[in-house]
Formats: sequence, structure tokens, C-alpha cells
Amino acid sequence: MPEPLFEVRDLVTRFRSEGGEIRPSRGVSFHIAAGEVLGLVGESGSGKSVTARASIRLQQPESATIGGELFFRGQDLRKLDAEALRGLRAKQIAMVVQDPAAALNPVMTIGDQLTRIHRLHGGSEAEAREAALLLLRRMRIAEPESRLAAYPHQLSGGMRQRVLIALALICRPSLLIADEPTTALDVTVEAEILALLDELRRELGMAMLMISHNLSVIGRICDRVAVMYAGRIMEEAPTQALLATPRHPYTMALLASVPRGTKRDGPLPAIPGEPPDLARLPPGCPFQARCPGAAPQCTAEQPLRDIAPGRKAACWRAEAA
Amino acid sequence: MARFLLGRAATLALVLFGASVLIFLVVRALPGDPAIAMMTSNATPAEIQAMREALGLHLPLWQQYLTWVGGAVTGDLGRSFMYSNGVAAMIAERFPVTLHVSLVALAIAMAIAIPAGVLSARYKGGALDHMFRVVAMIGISMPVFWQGLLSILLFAVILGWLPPGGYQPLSAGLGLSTAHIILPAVALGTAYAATITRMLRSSMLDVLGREHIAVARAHGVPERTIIWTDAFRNALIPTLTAAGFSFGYLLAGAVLTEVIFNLPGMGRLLYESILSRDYPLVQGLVLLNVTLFVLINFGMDALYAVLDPRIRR
Ligand SMILES: Nc1ncnc2c1ncn2[C@@H]1O[C@H](COP(=O)(O)OP(=O)(O)O)[C@@H](O)[C@H]1O
Ligand code: SF4
Ligand SMILES: [Mg+2]
Repeated sequence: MPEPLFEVRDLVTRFRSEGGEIRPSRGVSFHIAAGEVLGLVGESGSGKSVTARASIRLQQPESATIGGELFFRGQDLRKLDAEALRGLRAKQIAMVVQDPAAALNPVMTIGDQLTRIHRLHGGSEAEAREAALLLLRRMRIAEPESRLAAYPHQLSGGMRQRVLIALALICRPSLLIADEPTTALDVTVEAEILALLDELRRELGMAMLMISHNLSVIGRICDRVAVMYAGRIMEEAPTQALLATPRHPYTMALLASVPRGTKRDGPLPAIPGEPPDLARLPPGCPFQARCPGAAPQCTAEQPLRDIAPGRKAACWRAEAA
Repeated sequence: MARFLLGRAATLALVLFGASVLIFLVVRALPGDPAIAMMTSNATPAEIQAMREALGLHLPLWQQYLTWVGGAVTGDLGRSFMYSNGVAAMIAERFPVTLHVSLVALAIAMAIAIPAGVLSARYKGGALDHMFRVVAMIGISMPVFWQGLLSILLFAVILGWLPPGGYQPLSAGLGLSTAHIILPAVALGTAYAATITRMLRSSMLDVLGREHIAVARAHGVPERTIIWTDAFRNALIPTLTAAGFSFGYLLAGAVLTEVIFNLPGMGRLLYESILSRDYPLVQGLVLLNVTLFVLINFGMDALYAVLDPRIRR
């Protein structure tokens, strides 16, 4: 296997609060090859956003990241100083987030927000403007010239999300972290944005970490999928294999809860039971309380292990199957 | 634009009407009779009654009110009972002093609050943040007059660098004028700086937690720019409210500060006029303060519109 573009090993994050200590990432490992799309799926609160942000050193405060190695092109991001890290941003690694209304600066024009990112990484104002216009056209935004002078509140939600994607792509990064980029949008706009994102990704040869709580979104554009639960990766497999033959009981439950036929967004129709309280996890498998196959063995640690070529799962039953 | 201004003028008129009724009644609800206050203690009831009539206090309340308001709309605020000068003229004499001190105090407050608020948010929980907090605590718990007295003691009495009090207008020369105004302005400015700093710090922390800050960081915007461009400009909007109120309070005058620094400002005038039940003077001063507050509010609205495109039409 060639060296992956991005590899996260044993990432641990921790927050302390009155309710106790929680660890939204409890030893998370994954890797993404150049040009590959890895999906990260799991119920809300399972630690996807914290893990993704911490993996590119954006989680604040940084002291929340207490362990792990983050290799980007063979270099550990955690060992880089602020300047070196900043040099990678936008040009190599970029991010799109869930809420486009909050993700753009309300007092800056779209044009200023786009061009300044381009200029930070070199080039003149005119070049930056040209790149911004080109990208907005490419994002199928009508009247791009006048959009440059607009403020975020003057655009629709779908339009803002396109701008946000443009912001991430303006320096042609090789890795895009997309944290639920379509969750705030309605279904038709979601489909358009997903298609556009996929198209641009192919064009740029960009790798992507696509986060969603929605398996149907993941199924549409990801090569491989990692399923996350209570701060752990529970199963990892090529998308087709995962959807066709899920091996981990949590993945099965997640799949069973996807409404057939519709592609409606929204919180997953309930998997029976509640997601666990991260401050009070049982020993062993965190899915115990909701797992139909729970047995005494489950109180033992369930490390993520190879169960078939290219497939991993964190459950003794998956291994035995 | 014309519509906008007209709307504002109507608001001002409405507020002033409400305020005028309220002031008029509250002043008269105060215990004490201005006629008695103006006379020696051995005045006879007949003399007191004659004084009441001379001041127009024997008339029914509604008639007194109409006379006052009728004059006020033409700019005539009546005559002071105590000084028998025109109230408007007395205000015109005192107001420039208070305006001058207030502007300098506000400038000092902002000059302290902006760096202190921004830096304590940026280094939240750090040494700088704690230092600013302690200094602000001392500043708040040390009354302005006490700080004023100490500063007179140090700079005027011990060091002899500055005059201990009094007022010199700008026309007397910038240096001389500033030498007189700097101590009271610092005493007042630092007191308001503490409030504005806290406001700015908390709105900076709020803005720094927003998603657009994370997105800017994700794309390599340097931390300095994040703080001063992305966060500060957004955080300034709520902070201006605190600054505007501070300015309003400053313009009302500060009695103790004016007494200590022997400044002929609005605070002392209001204080004395209340003590002597000088109805026309109290009414005129309070009406002016209300007007200024409303005007400051309008000014703030205009500023918000400049700073926040979401408010612009
Ligand atoms: N800054 C933070 N401080 C404390 N707890 C946090 C913070 N950010 C997230 N969390 C907690 O971490 C857990 C995982 O959150 P998150 O990664 O956002 O989940 P997901 O993206 O999978 O919905 C949640 O319980 C959330 O409340
Ligand atoms: S380890 Fe046990 S509880 Fe966990 S998923 Fe497997 S069977 Fe269910
Ligand atoms: Mg999330």
C-alpha cells in the first residue's frame, strides 16, 4: 500500500466539565489515500466533529487533544509550529462545516472573504479576484460579479454553502474535511451540492473526509466508510461491502434505521435506546446497552481488528462471523 | 432618509413628552417647599405665601405644567428660583465643561478598554487576563472620588505637576486646558473602562467561539487578523451599547468628581438644584439629559448600521 496522504493514529481528545470528563475521541485511527473519499458516519454526539477538527489541529482549545499522531504527507501535524501549520491550511488542507449561516463572517463581503484566502497564500488582488470569479461560476452561482459585493445574509442557505465550499477550494487543497456539509440544507439543494462537491473533487484530484450522520449521503460519494460510536471507530469497510454486508451490530442497527426509498435528511430514525453518556461509559463495548446481541464477553475491550481483507470491526461477534 | 429622520423626531418628541410629565411630577413629589427653602427661618407664613405666588406655585398643577412646557418648546426653560437666571443660559454655561470632561473621559475609557478587552479574551485564563481582572476589580471597588483624591494628592500636592482643580476651556490654550481636565477625566474614564472592558471581553469570547472564526483559522488566516478583523469588528457592535450608555451617564455629570476637582459642571448644578427644590432648574437639567440619551441612542443606531451590514437597508 502506498503511503496514505493523511493518517490519524490513536487520536484522543478530552473535555472536562462539571458533569465529569468526556472523551469524544477515544483512540481513533483512520487513513485516507490521495484522491480517496472516506466517510465518517455515526449518530449525533458520537464525536465525529471533535475528531475531525482535532485531526487537523482546529479543535479549540488545542489542549483538548491529549494523544495521537496526525500524519499528513508523512509529517506529524502535531509537531509543526503555528507558522508551518498555517502554510498547509487552504493550500493543502481545507474545511467545510455544517452551518453556512454561521460559517461566514457576517460583516465581510463574500468577495473579501474569498480573495483574502487566496492572497494569504500568494498572488495579487487581481489574480485572487479572478480565481474567486472562476470558482463561483464553477459552483454555478448566477451573477458571480455581483455576489462578490454581497454580504452573507443577502444569500440563500444553498448559496452560502456554495460560497463556503468555494472558500475551501480556492487554493486547490489536496484534502478536504467536509463536516456535514449538507445537513442544514433541504433535500434538493443537498443533492445538488453533493453532486457538485463530488464533481469538483474529481476535477482537483482531492481527497476528502466526508462526515455525516446520514448513511444515504455517505453511500453516494464515499469510497470507504468508518462508523463511529461513542468516540470509537466500530467498523471500517469499503462502502459497498459495508452497505451490503454490515458486520458490526451497530452498523446493522444504523442501516436498519435508514428509511428505504426516501433520501430525507434529518436525525436518524431511532435506533432503540439512547446514545450513551460519554461521561459514564460501561467497561468494554460502548454499544452494550442497545445491542441485541450483547453477552458477558462484551464487557471486555473490543479493539478494532481486521476481520476480512480491507475490513475492520470492533466486536467479537463480527470477528467470529 | 426624510422618513427615517421624521420617525426619529417623532420618537424624540414622544419620549420628551413622557419624560417632561414624569420629571414635573417627581420634582413636586419631593418633600420640601421651594418657597421655604428660599427664605430665612424666621419668615412669616404670609411672607412664605407671597413667595409661593411670586414663583407661581399657587397655581393648579396642570397650569404650572402648561406654562413650563409652553416655554420649553420655544427654548425658554424658565427662570431658576435660586439664581433668578434663565435656566437655559445656566445650562449653556455649564454644559461645555461637562461635555469636555466627558469626551476626554470616554476617549480614555475606550483607549483602555479596547486593548484590555481584546487581549484578555485572546489570552483567556492567562496571566494577562487575570491581571486585567484584578486591576478592574480594584478600579471598580475604588470609588471615583477616592481615586480622584489620591490623584490630586500625588500629581498636584506631592509632585506639583498638575493643578489640583478648576476648569480652563480649550480657548485658554490646549496645554492649560488639558492640565486641568486630565485628572478628573482619568478618574471618570478608568471607572467606565472597567465596565466596557468586561463587555468587550465577553463579546470577543462569544465571537471567537463562532464557526466563521474556525473557518478562517482552517484556511490559514493569521491569528492577529482573526482577533482584530474577524472577531473585534463583530464584538464591537454590542460593546458600543455599553460605551453609549457610559457616555450618556458621563454627560449627566458626576457630582463628587466635580466637587473634588472644583469643576463647574452639570452634576453639581443638578445636585444643588435638587437640594434647593429649584423646580425649573431640575426640570431643565433632567430634560436635557433625557434628550442627550435619546440622541446618543440615535447616534448608536447610525453606527451599528455602518458596522453591521445586516442592519443596513
Ligand atoms: N468544546 C467542547 N467542550 C466540551 N464538550 C464538547 C465540546 N465540543 C464537543 N463536545 C462534546 O463532545 C461530544 C461529541 O461532539 P461532536 O464531535 O460534536 O459529535 P458529532 O459531530 O458526532 O455530533 C458531545 O458530547 C459534545 O457535547
Ligand atoms: S461487543 Fe457485544 S455489545 Fe458490542 S456490538 Fe459486539 S455484541 Fe454488541
Ligand atoms: Mg458534528
